[in-house]
Amino acid sequence: MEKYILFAFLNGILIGINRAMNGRLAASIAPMGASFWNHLVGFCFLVILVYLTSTFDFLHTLQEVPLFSYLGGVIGALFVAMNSWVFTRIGATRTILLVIGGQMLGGTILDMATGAIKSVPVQVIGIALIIIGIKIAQRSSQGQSSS
Amino acid sequence: MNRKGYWLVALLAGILLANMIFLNGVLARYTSPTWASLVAHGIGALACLPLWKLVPVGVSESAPPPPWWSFFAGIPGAFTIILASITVNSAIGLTGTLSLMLLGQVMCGLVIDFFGFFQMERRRLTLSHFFEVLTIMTGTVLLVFFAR
Repeated sequence: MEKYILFAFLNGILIGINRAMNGRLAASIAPMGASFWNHLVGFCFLVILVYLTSTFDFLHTLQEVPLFSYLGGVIGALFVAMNSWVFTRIGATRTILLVIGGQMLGGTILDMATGAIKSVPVQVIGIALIIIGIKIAQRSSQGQSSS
Repeated sequence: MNRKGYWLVALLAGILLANMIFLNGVLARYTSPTWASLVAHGIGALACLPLWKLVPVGVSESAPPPPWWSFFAGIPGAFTIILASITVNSAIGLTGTLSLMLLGQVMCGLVIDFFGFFQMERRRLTLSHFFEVLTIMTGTVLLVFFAR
Protein backbone atom coordinates (compact mmCIF):
# COMPACT_ATOMS: atom_id res chain seq x y z
CA MET A 1 0.00 0.00 0.00
CA GLU A 2 2.69 2.50 1.10
CA LYS A 3 4.72 1.49 -1.94
CA TYR A 4 1.86 2.40 -4.29
CA ILE A 5 1.23 5.70 -2.49
CA LEU A 6 4.90 6.54 -3.04
CA PHE A 7 4.73 5.43 -6.70
CA ALA A 8 1.69 7.59 -7.46
CA PHE A 9 3.24 10.60 -5.71
CA LEU A 10 6.56 10.10 -7.56
CA ASN A 11 4.56 9.88 -10.75
CA GLY A 12 3.26 13.39 -10.14
CA ILE A 13 6.84 14.57 -9.60
CA LEU A 14 7.85 12.94 -12.91
CA ILE A 15 5.05 14.89 -14.63
CA GLY A 16 6.29 18.13 -13.05
CA ILE A 17 9.84 17.36 -14.24
CA ASN A 18 8.55 16.57 -17.74
CA ARG A 19 6.70 19.90 -17.87
CA ALA A 20 9.74 21.86 -16.66
CA MET A 21 12.09 20.19 -19.17
CA ASN A 22 9.64 20.92 -21.99
CA GLY A 23 9.24 24.49 -20.78
CA ARG A 24 13.00 24.99 -20.83
CA LEU A 25 13.30 23.53 -24.35
CA ALA A 26 10.38 25.65 -25.61
CA ALA A 27 12.21 28.77 -24.43
CA SER A 28 15.06 27.90 -26.82
CA ILE A 29 13.45 26.24 -29.87
CA ALA A 30 9.73 27.27 -29.87
CA PRO A 31 6.83 25.45 -28.15
CA MET A 32 5.86 23.19 -31.07
CA GLY A 33 9.51 22.11 -31.37
CA ALA A 34 9.59 21.18 -27.69
CA SER A 35 6.38 19.21 -28.18
CA PHE A 36 7.93 17.41 -31.17
CA TRP A 37 11.03 16.29 -29.22
CA ASN A 38 8.92 15.31 -26.21
CA HIS A 39 6.74 13.07 -28.38
CA LEU A 40 9.56 11.64 -30.49
CA VAL A 41 11.76 10.71 -27.51
CA GLY A 42 8.76 9.32 -25.61
CA PHE A 43 7.79 7.32 -28.69
CA CYS A 44 11.27 5.77 -29.05
CA PHE A 45 11.35 4.93 -25.35
CA LEU A 46 7.91 3.30 -25.54
CA VAL A 47 8.84 1.30 -28.67
CA ILE A 48 11.66 -0.31 -26.68
CA LEU A 49 9.39 -0.84 -23.67
CA VAL A 50 6.54 -2.39 -25.68
CA TYR A 51 9.02 -4.60 -27.56
CA LEU A 52 10.45 -5.87 -24.27
CA THR A 53 7.23 -6.27 -22.28
CA SER A 54 4.15 -6.56 -24.48
CA THR A 55 2.55 -9.88 -25.31
CA PHE A 56 0.51 -8.18 -28.08
CA ASP A 57 -2.58 -10.07 -26.99
CA PHE A 58 -4.70 -7.11 -28.11
CA LEU A 59 -3.89 -7.52 -31.82
CA HIS A 60 -7.25 -9.15 -32.55
CA THR A 61 -9.16 -6.10 -31.23
CA LEU A 62 -6.91 -3.59 -32.98
CA GLN A 63 -9.27 -3.04 -35.91
CA GLU A 64 -12.17 -2.40 -33.51
CA VAL A 65 -10.47 0.69 -32.03
CA PRO A 66 -12.73 3.72 -32.69
CA LEU A 67 -10.92 6.05 -35.08
CA PHE A 68 -11.71 9.16 -33.00
CA SER A 69 -9.55 7.82 -30.16
CA TYR A 70 -6.44 8.42 -32.29
CA LEU A 71 -7.13 12.17 -32.00
CA GLY A 72 -5.66 11.93 -28.47
CA GLY A 73 -2.17 12.15 -29.98
CA VAL A 74 -2.97 15.34 -31.89
CA ILE A 75 -4.50 16.92 -28.78
CA GLY A 76 -1.40 15.88 -26.83
CA ALA A 77 0.82 17.67 -29.36
CA LEU A 78 -1.10 20.92 -28.79
CA PHE A 79 -1.26 20.39 -25.03
CA VAL A 80 2.52 20.06 -24.60
CA ALA A 81 3.17 23.15 -26.76
CA MET A 82 0.66 25.34 -24.91
CA ASN A 83 1.80 24.12 -21.50
CA SER A 84 5.49 24.67 -22.33
CA TRP A 85 4.82 28.16 -23.67
CA VAL A 86 3.03 29.27 -20.48
CA PHE A 87 5.35 27.46 -18.05
CA THR A 88 8.29 29.88 -18.24
CA ARG A 89 5.93 32.89 -18.23
CA ILE A 90 3.74 32.39 -15.16
CA GLY A 91 5.89 29.84 -13.31
CA ALA A 92 5.71 26.14 -12.49
CA THR A 93 3.20 26.18 -9.61
CA ARG A 94 0.69 28.44 -11.31
CA THR A 95 0.88 26.61 -14.65
CA ILE A 96 0.43 23.24 -12.95
CA LEU A 97 -2.51 24.51 -10.87
CA LEU A 98 -4.29 26.13 -13.84
CA VAL A 99 -3.83 22.97 -15.89
CA ILE A 100 -5.30 20.89 -13.01
CA GLY A 101 -8.20 23.38 -12.82
CA GLY A 102 -8.83 23.06 -16.56
CA GLN A 103 -8.48 19.29 -16.35
CA MET A 104 -11.12 19.14 -13.60
CA LEU A 105 -13.52 21.43 -15.49
CA GLY A 106 -13.02 19.46 -18.71
CA GLY A 107 -13.31 16.15 -16.86
CA THR A 108 -16.56 17.23 -15.20
CA ILE A 109 -18.05 18.20 -18.57
CA LEU A 110 -17.00 14.80 -19.96
CA ASP A 111 -18.49 13.06 -16.90
CA MET A 112 -21.77 14.93 -17.40
CA ALA A 113 -21.79 13.96 -21.07
CA THR A 114 -21.17 10.29 -20.27
CA GLY A 115 -23.46 10.20 -17.19
CA ALA A 116 -20.75 9.27 -14.67
CA ILE A 117 -21.78 11.80 -12.01
CA LYS A 118 -22.97 10.65 -8.58
CA SER A 119 -23.23 13.69 -6.34
CA VAL A 120 -24.24 16.99 -7.91
CA PRO A 121 -23.97 19.18 -4.73
CA VAL A 122 -20.38 18.04 -4.05
CA GLN A 123 -19.58 18.68 -7.67
CA VAL A 124 -20.95 22.22 -7.55
CA ILE A 125 -18.85 23.01 -4.45
CA GLY A 126 -15.74 21.45 -6.03
CA ILE A 127 -16.14 23.39 -9.27
CA ALA A 128 -16.86 26.63 -7.36
CA LEU A 129 -13.64 26.26 -5.33
CA ILE A 130 -11.64 25.57 -8.49
CA ILE A 131 -13.10 28.63 -10.25
CA ILE A 132 -12.20 30.80 -7.22
CA GLY A 133 -8.65 29.43 -7.39
CA ILE A 134 -8.47 30.11 -11.13
CA LYS A 135 -9.63 33.71 -10.55
CA ILE A 136 -6.88 34.22 -7.93
CA ALA A 137 -4.28 32.75 -10.30
CA GLN A 138 -5.58 34.93 -13.13
CA ARG A 139 -5.23 38.12 -11.09
CA SER A 140 -1.75 37.21 -9.87
CA SER A 141 -0.47 36.15 -13.30
CA GLN A 142 -1.64 39.47 -14.73
CA GLY A 143 0.10 41.41 -11.94
CA GLN A 144 3.71 42.40 -11.44
CA SER A 145 6.64 40.25 -12.49
CA SER A 146 7.43 39.35 -8.89
CA SER A 147 4.30 37.21 -8.62
CA MET B 1 -0.18 37.95 -26.75
CA ASN B 2 0.33 40.14 -23.68
CA ARG B 3 0.61 38.66 -20.22
CA LYS B 4 -3.12 38.97 -19.66
CA GLY B 5 -3.86 35.80 -21.61
CA TYR B 6 -1.32 33.38 -20.09
CA TRP B 7 -3.71 32.04 -17.46
CA LEU B 8 -6.28 31.29 -20.17
CA VAL B 9 -3.78 29.33 -22.29
CA ALA B 10 -2.91 27.19 -19.21
CA LEU B 11 -6.60 26.65 -18.45
CA LEU B 12 -7.38 25.67 -22.07
CA ALA B 13 -4.37 23.31 -21.99
CA GLY B 14 -5.93 21.61 -18.95
CA ILE B 15 -9.28 21.22 -20.76
CA LEU B 16 -7.40 19.71 -23.73
CA LEU B 17 -5.59 17.39 -21.30
CA ALA B 18 -8.89 16.03 -19.95
CA ASN B 19 -9.97 15.23 -23.52
CA MET B 20 -6.58 13.70 -24.33
CA ILE B 21 -6.76 11.43 -21.26
CA PHE B 22 -10.31 10.42 -22.21
CA LEU B 23 -9.35 9.56 -25.82
CA ASN B 24 -6.13 7.76 -24.85
CA GLY B 25 -8.19 5.87 -22.27
CA VAL B 26 -10.54 4.63 -25.02
CA LEU B 27 -7.53 3.50 -27.06
CA ALA B 28 -6.02 1.80 -23.98
CA ARG B 29 -9.25 -0.12 -23.32
CA TYR B 30 -9.03 -1.71 -26.76
CA THR B 31 -5.28 -2.31 -26.57
CA SER B 32 -3.02 -1.72 -23.54
CA PRO B 33 -1.87 1.40 -21.65
CA THR B 34 1.68 1.25 -23.02
CA TRP B 35 0.54 0.55 -26.59
CA ALA B 36 -1.98 3.42 -26.42
CA SER B 37 0.73 5.73 -25.14
CA LEU B 38 3.15 4.62 -27.86
CA VAL B 39 0.57 5.28 -30.58
CA ALA B 40 -0.42 8.66 -29.06
CA HIS B 41 3.26 9.70 -28.87
CA GLY B 42 3.84 8.67 -32.50
CA ILE B 43 0.78 10.52 -33.79
CA GLY B 44 1.69 13.50 -31.58
CA ALA B 45 5.23 13.67 -33.02
CA LEU B 46 3.85 13.53 -36.60
CA ALA B 47 1.22 16.19 -35.81
CA CYS B 48 3.93 18.51 -34.48
CA LEU B 49 5.78 18.68 -37.79
CA PRO B 50 3.16 20.68 -39.76
CA LEU B 51 2.12 22.57 -36.60
CA TRP B 52 5.75 23.58 -35.94
CA LYS B 53 5.70 25.35 -39.33
CA LEU B 54 2.14 26.71 -39.05
CA VAL B 55 2.01 27.98 -35.46
CA PRO B 56 3.55 31.45 -35.53
CA VAL B 57 4.95 31.26 -31.98
CA GLY B 58 8.73 31.12 -32.19
CA VAL B 59 11.64 32.30 -30.08
CA SER B 60 13.78 35.40 -30.40
CA GLU B 61 17.22 35.30 -32.04
CA SER B 62 18.76 36.03 -28.64
CA ALA B 63 17.16 32.96 -26.99
CA PRO B 64 19.75 30.89 -25.08
CA PRO B 65 20.69 27.53 -26.62
CA PRO B 66 18.77 24.54 -25.22
CA PRO B 67 20.56 22.43 -22.57
CA TRP B 68 21.12 18.83 -23.75
CA TRP B 69 18.85 17.32 -21.09
CA SER B 70 15.82 19.35 -22.20
CA PHE B 71 15.46 17.10 -25.27
CA PHE B 72 14.73 14.10 -23.03
CA ALA B 73 11.49 15.28 -21.39
CA GLY B 74 9.74 12.41 -23.19
CA ILE B 75 11.39 9.84 -20.92
CA PRO B 76 9.83 10.95 -17.59
CA GLY B 77 6.67 11.62 -19.63
CA ALA B 78 6.53 8.03 -20.88
CA PHE B 79 7.38 6.61 -17.44
CA THR B 80 4.20 8.24 -16.17
CA ILE B 81 2.08 5.74 -18.12
CA ILE B 82 3.89 2.74 -16.64
CA LEU B 83 3.67 3.96 -13.05
CA ALA B 84 0.02 4.98 -13.47
CA SER B 85 -0.99 1.60 -14.86
CA ILE B 86 0.71 -0.07 -11.87
CA THR B 87 -0.94 2.12 -9.21
CA VAL B 88 -4.42 2.27 -10.80
CA ASN B 89 -4.57 -1.53 -10.48
CA SER B 90 -3.34 -1.51 -6.86
CA ALA B 91 -5.12 -0.96 -3.53
CA ILE B 92 -5.10 2.82 -3.96
CA GLY B 93 -7.12 2.61 -7.21
CA LEU B 94 -7.92 5.32 -9.72
CA THR B 95 -8.94 8.02 -7.24
CA GLY B 96 -5.89 7.48 -5.05
CA THR B 97 -3.60 7.46 -8.07
CA LEU B 98 -5.13 10.61 -9.54
CA SER B 99 -5.09 12.64 -6.31
CA LEU B 100 -1.52 11.61 -5.37
CA MET B 101 -0.30 12.36 -8.89
CA LEU B 102 -1.87 15.83 -8.76
CA LEU B 103 -0.37 16.40 -5.29
CA GLY B 104 3.06 15.33 -6.57
CA GLN B 105 2.76 17.76 -9.47
CA VAL B 106 1.92 20.70 -7.23
CA MET B 107 4.74 19.90 -4.77
CA CYS B 108 7.13 19.60 -7.70
CA GLY B 109 5.92 22.96 -9.07
CA LEU B 110 6.48 24.69 -5.71
CA VAL B 111 10.01 23.25 -5.45
CA ILE B 112 10.88 24.26 -9.04
CA ASP B 113 9.61 27.82 -8.50
CA PHE B 114 11.39 28.18 -5.15
CA PHE B 115 14.78 26.77 -6.17
CA GLY B 116 14.72 27.59 -9.88
CA PHE B 117 15.47 23.99 -10.89
CA PHE B 118 15.71 23.14 -14.62
CA GLN B 119 17.02 26.66 -15.32
CA MET B 120 13.63 28.14 -14.44
CA GLU B 121 13.34 31.64 -13.03
CA ARG B 122 13.33 31.58 -9.22
CA ARG B 123 10.03 32.87 -7.89
CA ARG B 124 9.00 34.09 -4.48
CA LEU B 125 6.08 32.03 -3.22
CA THR B 126 3.31 34.40 -2.20
CA LEU B 127 0.07 34.30 -0.22
CA SER B 128 -1.68 34.16 -3.58
CA HIS B 129 0.09 30.86 -4.37
CA PHE B 130 -1.09 29.52 -1.01
CA PHE B 131 -4.74 30.33 -1.74
CA GLU B 132 -4.50 28.98 -5.28
CA VAL B 133 -3.15 25.65 -3.98
CA LEU B 134 -5.76 25.56 -1.20
CA THR B 135 -8.82 26.25 -3.36
CA ILE B 136 -7.88 24.29 -6.48
CA MET B 137 -6.61 21.24 -4.57
CA THR B 138 -9.61 21.17 -2.18
CA GLY B 139 -11.98 21.42 -5.14
CA THR B 140 -10.04 18.70 -6.92
CA VAL B 141 -10.15 16.33 -3.92
CA LEU B 142 -13.93 16.87 -3.66
CA LEU B 143 -14.39 16.06 -7.35
CA VAL B 144 -12.02 13.09 -7.39
CA PHE B 145 -13.28 11.41 -4.20
CA PHE B 146 -16.92 12.36 -3.81
CA ALA B 147 -18.55 13.53 -7.02
CA ARG B 148 -18.42 10.46 -9.25
